[in-house]
Amino acid sequence: MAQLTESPPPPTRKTPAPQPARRRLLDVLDRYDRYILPAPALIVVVAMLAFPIGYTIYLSFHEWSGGLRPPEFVGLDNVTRSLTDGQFWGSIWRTVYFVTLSVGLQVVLGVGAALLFHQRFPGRGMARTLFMFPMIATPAAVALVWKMMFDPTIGILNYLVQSVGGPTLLWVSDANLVIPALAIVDTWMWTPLVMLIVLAGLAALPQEPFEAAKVDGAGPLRTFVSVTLPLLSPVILVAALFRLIDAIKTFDIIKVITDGGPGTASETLNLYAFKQGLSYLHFGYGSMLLVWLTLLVFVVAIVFTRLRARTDQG
Amino acid sequence: MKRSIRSMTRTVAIALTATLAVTACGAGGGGNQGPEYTGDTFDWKRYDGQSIKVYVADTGQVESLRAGLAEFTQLTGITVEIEGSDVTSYRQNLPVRLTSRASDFDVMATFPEVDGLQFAKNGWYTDLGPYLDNPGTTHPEYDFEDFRAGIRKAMTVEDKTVTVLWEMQTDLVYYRKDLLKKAGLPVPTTFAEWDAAAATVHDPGNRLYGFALRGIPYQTTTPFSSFLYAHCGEWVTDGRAALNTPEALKAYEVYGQLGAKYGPPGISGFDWPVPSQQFAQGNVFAFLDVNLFVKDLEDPTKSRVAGKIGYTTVPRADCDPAPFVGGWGYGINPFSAKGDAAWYFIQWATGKQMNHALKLTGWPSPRASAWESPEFTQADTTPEFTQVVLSSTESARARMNPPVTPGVEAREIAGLVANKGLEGQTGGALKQTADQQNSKLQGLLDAMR
Repeated sequence: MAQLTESPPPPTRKTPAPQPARRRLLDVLDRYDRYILPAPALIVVVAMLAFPIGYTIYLSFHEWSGGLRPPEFVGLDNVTRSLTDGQFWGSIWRTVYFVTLSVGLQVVLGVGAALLFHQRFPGRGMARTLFMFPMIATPAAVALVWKMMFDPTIGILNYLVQSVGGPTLLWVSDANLVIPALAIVDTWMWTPLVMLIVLAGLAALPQEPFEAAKVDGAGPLRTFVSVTLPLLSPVILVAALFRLIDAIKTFDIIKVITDGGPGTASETLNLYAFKQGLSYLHFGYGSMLLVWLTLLVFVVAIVFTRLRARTDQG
Repeated sequence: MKRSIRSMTRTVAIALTATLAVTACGAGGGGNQGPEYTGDTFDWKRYDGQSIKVYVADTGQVESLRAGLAEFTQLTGITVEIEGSDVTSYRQNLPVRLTSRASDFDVMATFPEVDGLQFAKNGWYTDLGPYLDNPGTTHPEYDFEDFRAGIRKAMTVEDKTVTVLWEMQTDLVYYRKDLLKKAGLPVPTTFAEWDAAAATVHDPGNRLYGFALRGIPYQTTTPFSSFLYAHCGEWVTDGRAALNTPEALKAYEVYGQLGAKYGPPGISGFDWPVPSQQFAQGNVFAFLDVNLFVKDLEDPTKSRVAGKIGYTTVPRADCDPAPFVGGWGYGINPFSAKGDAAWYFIQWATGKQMNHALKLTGWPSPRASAWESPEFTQADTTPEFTQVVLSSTESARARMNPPVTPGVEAREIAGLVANKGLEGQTGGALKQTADQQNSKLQGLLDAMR
């Protein structure tokens, strides 16, 4: 017995209890894991979105041309400079002109195409697929093709115009024609997107109002104006909003086809900001122009969202 | 089990967060402080095993450069990667990369006439003087003096050699000898004579246009400088912008009218290679531009007018003709940590051997010996062109742009007047544009002080 009492206690298989500090840490991690786990993704999002926006706003209050000297704080100088800069106002006007023309055309043609492709006819699937092609193509490549087509001497557009007895048009080399010409390219590319959205809206429309209209003896035009269009308007507004935001930011096709020319006739706000920031190295002023561009997109988005809310309520 | 998985997930999440935080804070280093090697023994193999990246604007030289790279690697043991970009994209991308102090390329391209003042102000040049002066870093047979004094001047900014040119650009007039002969006219020597000759040959109904010029605003300054100097104008006089002086206005008017009256449709949107492309297609009687196009124009597989081309110096007006001379050259990225190896590449790419070989292919070499070598003299198929280029460089000036920073903006400002001229502006309207652009240029000049 004495031997028994003197022997050490038998080894146990039980895991030792965590140290109090470690347990506390695990408890904290358990409690906050909903924040800790998404943190890497959150950091990436902040780094990719918030930082560039924040840095652009920071730079817009500075003058900096790169190099070894740090940016110099200039307060509101860039704001006043932009407000008194004729080229800035010119670029705003050209942006509005381009956006109104291209989005207007895209909405009209997109709705028309959607109505067409909503009908049943042989080869509809294939025709729809073909109609989507411009949207899938790379914008820079598309722009190069259009640039060649617009060439006044060897371009196919002038060949077509002249073959029906039309005049020699300068297209993108004509200061008065350049924005409509660019709007044609944008319309060619993005009408399919409007069509796609509106087509989805059409498929989801209830059938009862159409049947009621039929019973009341309404013709196709009357049905379209009084039934289809009001029911579709929220969807059309969404499509228009998408296109407006994108059209305001259009850069690639204008850059490749005209680079803002002839002269400054197609220099939209985006192009002007690029030129100031990256060609002239006025990083501060270029950033201020981009802040204006962001505000423009923001205002348009708010207006359209409100408009859509109103049509929903109506 | 469940607990251990949660614990493991936590560990991974924390590690990821920490990694992201650390990498986000990471920053590049480096910085070129002149030659690393300070001894005086030259050895091509000193940087054997290193690899460098060359980031350059492609003015047509990249293909030949790539073809010779194996030879360079065999000579030095340095491997080279070349990133060639078109001139317009390059001009926009290089400053962005330098602003971020990118050290991922070691050799860069620069056109001091355009970039010089801005790059020097921003510390974006490496002074090549210490490399050139050190016998340990420059091969004894490199012979920098072989570049004529005017060309060496075009390699400097604020009295420092910042680049070595790989080409020599100067303006001249290309014209169709057959059409001039048919018209029974002598080779014009003044702008008025060119106007008359272009009017005689101009036949838009048959798609033959009298004269072509560049149209995109900032690109017009290159050919326009020849108009400006021949009309006794200057970009800047006594520190004041001079775009609206009577001399400059006359030059703008002549430039605009020559293109507006006899140019192909859409001339005001012409990119820099377009006049030569239209000429190669046989659509244009004459054009005034730089000397980079002869190789393609005389190649029957690329040009319909090969063998029919005449070359002559830029015309005179009230003053003697004064084309510019300058060009693109190689420099060392100031943020590169491989400056010595980069200099070896520059030395090889601008050396006599490379220049002599390139000259035989029609390249406008900046080295005098390349133009004078017996091999070239015997093989020269366009001696008239050679003669014109060499005589042009005799009377050339090293300025084709306003000496104002930022160079690209100054070009755009001055070039817009020429662009409006091509759109048909004349007289009072053109003066109004010139006044407006002059005050913009003055604004840049004031900001420089």
